[in-house]
Amino acid sequence: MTEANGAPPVEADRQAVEAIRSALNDALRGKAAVIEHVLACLLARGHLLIEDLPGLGKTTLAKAMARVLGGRFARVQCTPDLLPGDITGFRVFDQKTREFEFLPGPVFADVLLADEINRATPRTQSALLEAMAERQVTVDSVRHVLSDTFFVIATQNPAEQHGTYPLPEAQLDRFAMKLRIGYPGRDDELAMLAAAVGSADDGSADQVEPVGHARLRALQGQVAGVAVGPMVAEYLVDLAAATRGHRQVTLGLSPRGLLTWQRLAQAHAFLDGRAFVTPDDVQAVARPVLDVRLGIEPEAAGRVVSEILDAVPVPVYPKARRA
Amino acid sequence: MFAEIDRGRPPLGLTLALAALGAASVELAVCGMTQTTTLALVRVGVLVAAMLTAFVLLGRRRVERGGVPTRRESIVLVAIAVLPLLWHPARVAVFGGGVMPETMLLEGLRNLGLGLAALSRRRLARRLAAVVALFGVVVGSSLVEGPTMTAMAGAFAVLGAAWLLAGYWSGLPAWASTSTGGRPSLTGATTALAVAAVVPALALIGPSTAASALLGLVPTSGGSDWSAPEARSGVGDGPNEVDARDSADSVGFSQSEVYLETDQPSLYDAFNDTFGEPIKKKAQEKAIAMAPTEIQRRREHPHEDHRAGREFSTHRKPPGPRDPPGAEADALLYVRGRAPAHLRLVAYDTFDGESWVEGQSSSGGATLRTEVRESPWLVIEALDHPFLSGRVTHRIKVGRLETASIPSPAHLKRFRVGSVNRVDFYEWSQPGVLRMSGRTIPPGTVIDTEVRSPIPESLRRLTIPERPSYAFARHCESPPVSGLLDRLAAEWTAGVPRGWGQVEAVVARLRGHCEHDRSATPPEGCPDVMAHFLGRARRGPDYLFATAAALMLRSLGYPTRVVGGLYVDPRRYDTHARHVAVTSDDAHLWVEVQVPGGEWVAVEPTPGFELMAPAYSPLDLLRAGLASAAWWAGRNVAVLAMLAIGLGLLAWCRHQVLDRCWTIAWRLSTPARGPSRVVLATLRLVERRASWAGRGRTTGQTPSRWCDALVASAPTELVNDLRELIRLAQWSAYAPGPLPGGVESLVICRRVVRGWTLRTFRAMTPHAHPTREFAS
Repeated sequence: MTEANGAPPVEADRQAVEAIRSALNDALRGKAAVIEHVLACLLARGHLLIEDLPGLGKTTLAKAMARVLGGRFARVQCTPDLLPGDITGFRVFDQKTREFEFLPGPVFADVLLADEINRATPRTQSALLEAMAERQVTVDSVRHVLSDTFFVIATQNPAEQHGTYPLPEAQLDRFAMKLRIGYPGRDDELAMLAAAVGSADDGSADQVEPVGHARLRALQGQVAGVAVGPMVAEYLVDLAAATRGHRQVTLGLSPRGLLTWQRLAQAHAFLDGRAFVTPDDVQAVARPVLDVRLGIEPEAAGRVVSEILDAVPVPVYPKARRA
Repeated sequence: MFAEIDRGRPPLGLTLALAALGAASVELAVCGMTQTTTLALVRVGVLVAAMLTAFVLLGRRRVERGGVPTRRESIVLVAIAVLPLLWHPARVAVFGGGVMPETMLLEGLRNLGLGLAALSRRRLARRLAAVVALFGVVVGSSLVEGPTMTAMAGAFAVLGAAWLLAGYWSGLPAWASTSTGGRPSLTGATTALAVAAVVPALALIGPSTAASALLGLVPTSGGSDWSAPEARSGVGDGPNEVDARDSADSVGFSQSEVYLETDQPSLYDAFNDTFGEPIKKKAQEKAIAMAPTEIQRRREHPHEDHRAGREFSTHRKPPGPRDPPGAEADALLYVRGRAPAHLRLVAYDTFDGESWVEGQSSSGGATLRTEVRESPWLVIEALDHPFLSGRVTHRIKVGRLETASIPSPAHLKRFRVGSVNRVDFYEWSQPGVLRMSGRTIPPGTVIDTEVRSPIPESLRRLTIPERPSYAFARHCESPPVSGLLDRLAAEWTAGVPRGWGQVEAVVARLRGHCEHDRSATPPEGCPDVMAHFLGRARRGPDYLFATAAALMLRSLGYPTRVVGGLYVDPRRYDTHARHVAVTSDDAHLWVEVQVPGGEWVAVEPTPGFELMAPAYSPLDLLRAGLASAAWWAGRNVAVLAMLAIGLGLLAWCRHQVLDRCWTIAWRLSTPARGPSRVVLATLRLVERRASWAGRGRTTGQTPSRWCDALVASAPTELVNDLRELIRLAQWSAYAPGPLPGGVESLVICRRVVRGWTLRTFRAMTPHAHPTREFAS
């Protein structure tokens, strides 16, 4: 059980979070709820899978994230001929020094956008496994440590399934959540059009004060310290058990998924300015957490998650202490 | 029950129910040897309650949820299973008595089954509990017969099928249940249908066939002597079995005086033994010479007339000295079933002032048919009378009685005489009295009867006309005997409206007017036996009571007849053999009154003899309960009305009353609680109010979302208070530390309790169930 050491976010932390939130909201208009989930995922040190149609802002969001974090940004356009070495890096023979030299791949960035990840072969997809789970890669038996704030945003297009390699459950479980961005509202689209008039590029030239690696690491540490009371922990366990017992769920929540859910609930509580997690936080991140790792038919996902959340009693009053 | 059939959810409730049925079956088998069914059910109730308590307590413990019982649990299971094997020998050694080995084994099995059921959260224990329960029911069914055991076996079959279905369903792989949309597979459905078909088939066949087959597989030891209470048939009772002394359905084929072709007594002999021989008038008879051919024909044996009695004289000598009650083997009949009972053998219609004479043969409108093909049971089809209810069964074994009449209580519905199921083997000697055609019932024959029982309350509601059109004249005719009968009848029924009440009045007064004394026969040559009996002696044998009652009722216009037969005396009940041995001492006469519809209903005018208690069907019991409740309600209308008004008001205002009570409790407890607990208690109180008003928080709804749903229809200031309370409650419930300082939590709580009243919630417009919206 997480110790109850959390204190409410201090002003500096709050300003840093607000800066990230503001930059992302500017980049992706009218999607405040999605931005909150992205923020929670970032602060929980999770990785993000975005599944949506082309042109809805997936890449824009990733680029904005890289800019505001201030780290290195890399993008990999996944295709069937992409090799694992193209992601992790490889060793080449230097004619001058007469030695092998390691050329790091895009995985060594702070923010990695793996576009259309389901077009890469399973071999290449699995190259990302070690990087996502352990923040390190091993090339020719040599271990290379990645950035502390290494953050993967992977996208996949649900409309085109021809020539794709669906991500296996093991790899899906490495992602903290799966989001759908969806079309913006009418007002947001009008504002977007108005903002584009007179602008020569896509807005990437806007100068944003980066949050910085150290600040982000500190924020992630604060999130990890958000308290999770025994009743909330039991609630999480009950929910996990409910996913495993639901008739329409073929693959229930794994313990790793449960840990991820707790971390995201902590991040949600932190973003809400609290130092402790409530069942509201747990429910708020339930859908994206469960979407990515439960074996559910896509069209039934929303209903099933609702059923699970509606069936498990929310603990409000502490149980009477037993002698 | 079938709600448990959900994938991944073990059928705990079904397992507990199966274990309870198994334990009850074993207990019936164990207790049925020496105790009553009620005691067995009480005992098993206590044991099942203990098992459920253990189940609940084990569920509260945070133990490892493995599939196999732990070592400690296994030791406990073995201990409770072995306990009877240690306890009973110790009990016998200290207190004496006896115990059967299988009793100890069955009790150990019962304990093991209940212990496994208490541990049924573990998969292996759950499965073993079901297997042990099955074995218990099989053992119980093989040892015990009766409606209780049949019902339990049926319930076990249904629950067992559901248990198997649940087990099968929970064992399905996840993809199987989702790919078919939750539809059960063909095998599961086939199994369920097969089980469902077997249950009615077993019910149709009846458990007796299987039970008798299984009985041979069960050891029948126990007790060192056949008379020991723990002993059962099979060991040490060979002589009794052969002599047919032990049980009415025991069979003996040789070496028994019962079956020797001796001079077995007929009912006529029994009457003579019991009441004395009739006084024969000395008359001069003329001798007429017969032709030689006529003499030759007369020397042939006359055809035997198996009809009982034919006539019964009320002018009799005192009975001779009787032998002391002999062995049970001397009994005329052995009767197992409810006692007292009156077994009809002969009915006398006509009274000539001295003797009752049997009437002509008649079926009285009833017909006989075989129940179903190949069935030994015969059914009597007659009018369905509303005053008959219930179902009473008897098993009668013919002993030394030589009779063609089927000895049976009145209102026979169905019967079985061995395997003789041919209708043409029987004939009606009198309405309601069946006999075998042209032969007597062989000794040793077992007769099963099922009769209906007249309900006195229903009889009292019958309307009996002054001159019943349904009655034959001979049933209403009285010879010109003493006028005392008419006078007493009129006197005893004065003020009683016509109907069954008058019949009961006459019978009751007659039972109090005279004493029963078999030796007090009227003096020889007495001109008016009835006047002597009712006026002077006021004591006499039962045929005088029957005659007096029949004639008095006839004088009032009720068709009657005197019935002769045997009385099943409950005082002769043999607790060990579980039957009543009916001897010639039990020869008896009583009266039957014909009621509308033609049915003959027995009344008992002789003191010391009782009619069989009415057997109420469940429906009748319900009706009687409702009638008595209505009667009681009629006498206490005012109280009931006040009570109803009070309860109605209480029901109407129950939520206000509860709200007041909880609010007072909240106020009283507030000073003694810390801020966090006060905040949570306040939220709970408000939630209760919302629930009573139909706006309660649903299971998966957080307080915040519940509050959001109330926002639309509540005043803003109230919403703000509630939001603040919920924020404090979240802090109290989930935050590691106490409430932050400077927060006036008590003020907020009081404001919420004052603002969010029951009336506030009720004034809000109802809302639809909130739907859950997700960001992605």
